[in-house]
Amino acid sequence: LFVRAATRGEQYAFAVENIVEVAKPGVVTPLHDTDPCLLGITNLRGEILPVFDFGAVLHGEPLEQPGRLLVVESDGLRAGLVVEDVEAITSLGTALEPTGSELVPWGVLLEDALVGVVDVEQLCLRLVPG
Amino acid sequence: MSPDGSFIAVFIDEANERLDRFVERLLTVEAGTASADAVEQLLRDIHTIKGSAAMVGLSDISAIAHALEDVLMDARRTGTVDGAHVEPLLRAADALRREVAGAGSGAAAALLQLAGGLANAEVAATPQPAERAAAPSAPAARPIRVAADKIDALLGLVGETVLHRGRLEHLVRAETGKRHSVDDELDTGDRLLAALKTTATAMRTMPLATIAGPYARAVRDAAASEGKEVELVVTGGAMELDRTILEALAEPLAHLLRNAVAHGIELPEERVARGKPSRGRIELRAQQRGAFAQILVEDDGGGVAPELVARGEVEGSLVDVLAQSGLSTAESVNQLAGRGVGLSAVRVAVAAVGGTLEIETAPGAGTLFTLSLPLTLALLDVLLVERGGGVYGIPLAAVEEVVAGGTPLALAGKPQLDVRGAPVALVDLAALVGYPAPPARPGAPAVVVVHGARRVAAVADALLGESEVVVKPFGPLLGVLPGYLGAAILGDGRIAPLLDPEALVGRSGARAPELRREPPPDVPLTPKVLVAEDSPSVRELQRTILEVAGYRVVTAYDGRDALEQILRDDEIALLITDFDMPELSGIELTAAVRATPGRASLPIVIVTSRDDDADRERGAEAGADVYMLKRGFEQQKLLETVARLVDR
Repeated sequence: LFVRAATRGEQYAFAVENIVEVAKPGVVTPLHDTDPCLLGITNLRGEILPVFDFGAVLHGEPLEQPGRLLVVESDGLRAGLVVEDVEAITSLGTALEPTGSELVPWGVLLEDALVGVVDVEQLCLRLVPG
Repeated sequence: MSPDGSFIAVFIDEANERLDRFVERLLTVEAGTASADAVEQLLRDIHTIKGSAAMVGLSDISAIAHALEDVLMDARRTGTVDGAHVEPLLRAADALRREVAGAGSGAAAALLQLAGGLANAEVAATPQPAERAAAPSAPAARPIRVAADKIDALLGLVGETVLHRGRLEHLVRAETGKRHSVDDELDTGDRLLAALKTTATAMRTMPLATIAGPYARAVRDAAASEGKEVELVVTGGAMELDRTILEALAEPLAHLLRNAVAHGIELPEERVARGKPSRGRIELRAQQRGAFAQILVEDDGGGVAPELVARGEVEGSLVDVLAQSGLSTAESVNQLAGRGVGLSAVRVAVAAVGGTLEIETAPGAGTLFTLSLPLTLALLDVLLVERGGGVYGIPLAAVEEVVAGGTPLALAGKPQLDVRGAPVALVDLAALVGYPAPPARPGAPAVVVVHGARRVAAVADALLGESEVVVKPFGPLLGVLPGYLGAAILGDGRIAPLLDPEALVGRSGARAPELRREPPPDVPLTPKVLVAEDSPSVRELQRTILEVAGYRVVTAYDGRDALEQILRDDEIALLITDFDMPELSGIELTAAVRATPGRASLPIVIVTSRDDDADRERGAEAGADVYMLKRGFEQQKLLETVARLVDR
């Protein structure tokens, strides 16, 4: 099962086992002199959560309308991803096609839309500074 | 009576601590830097071990301590410890330590060792380091009697309570404004929270000094075997660190120190040829860096060979290179250190407790090993400031003062602020943290942040006040970010990044404040008894006996402390005091109480290991009501005595 999220008119799927929760983006405190993709940190029930602009991570451009916060985790590395919207939990079937992208290694046509399957482990590793 | 294991455990901790101090003091005698009262201090430690051991039923240990005491009594008569006696006294202390650890070869053997050593002292007056240097002793592990996860859960609750209290204060003030009753309740909450924090933290932590005691001996022995002159300086020894981490690092730190002696510090003649003092210096220090504690081992020796430094730059890090098995920084691998496997083991031990190891070196000037370790509960006193809509925390320890409405000056085209007659660079806080903000209003407050010898005046929009905050790390993904010590969650839910003074002023070595300790509040119950005793194990034993019997108990660690408590606390209904204590002896304390109007009739019981008629007479002359011996101590007898005296 996967959670579908949209950003910049594109759709992406995240395996549910990597999803911690979906929340509204709260107040994000910027940290200066850091990666431009890092919007800052937020208070997620008493813990500090780094918040990234998912669109900027993929495309290098800032998101225009942040809508939801997708909290993902892999191997103890936890990050908040700001996306425009989060849609239904869905099954992708088996018709996955390789894309050659490290962060989005698979694609699938779903209800006439192209959905990229995100490798959350690689994504989290990419987000580690340095 | 038959003391239970907890008293034995307290005794072992105490005896080890006193033996550490005993050895340190003997080394100052040997080095010719001992204080005038060194013999008295040596005697006091050994005497206390003797008395405490007798009280908890460890007669063998008491016997060894007694023999050591005899030797030191001779030294008291001459006013100094014969230099030739240092070595056998050190060996006797080793034997006593083994006996305390339960691994000794028996009291008889230890006594023979002491006697033999003293007899040979006349013909072997020089240190014999090689035998010990082969295996300098690391501090023995000290047991935790409460499961660590339970303490961690308690500490977690403390942290959450601090946050809760901040949120509550924010809400209450928003709803009701400043009302005295609300303020009083918040103050009460502060006091309770401080007591809870102190209690919980103390259960899980101990000061670096606890394990650092034996290091002076290890360095001394290692230096002697290498023909080097080395001074070990411990700073920040009072800093509280996680017990399990410290215990796990005791041997790795000993290795780093031996390594510094063997490979860092040069031979005296080499040092002199390089323009350095013949005596090398190794510093072991602890400091807080946000959510982390750092233990640093720094030497002023020759540094790591440039070719190894170059390899480190190519292969990733100098630690990687030096930790390779078989690689040594020394010209020859010796028994002290130098095997790369040693540093590899240090790195593994540090990583196992969630820490990191870094090395900095400067050829010809020295090497610095930095162990960064997670803190059990990272609390920090900060000044909260606002700039550009963001809130930031600056460690109070780094805040020298705040200047409001100062007139900027210019020096070489750069703005400066006159701070008590000295120009200090005036910089916008927004610029320091790299945040684009509109210019601050004229006359905005400037926070003078100091780090080492440098200062900077950082301009903020507003000062929000001082606060004790829980330092939250940025999490595993971000790890440690340059320029930040972590972040704090404020009462209103906002996050305040905590700024690193080092980054603000551009230099390293800032010290954060240590945990503030406050006594827990007393709860009124039954008659209050004051136990004045410098031995923690005896103090704990007596306190427990009395508390179980229903008495309120307060304790004092020396005579002066006891007298001050008696003068300020009218509820104290009885004093139980040791005979020999620092600052003010039990006899002096008793006499002082008897001479104090209003307190002269306070019942006083002396409990001591001094068993001769002259001492009994001194106790009676001073005004003690009862004189009891630690040897053959009986719980019931103490309780009967106390009951009789407080009820009369």
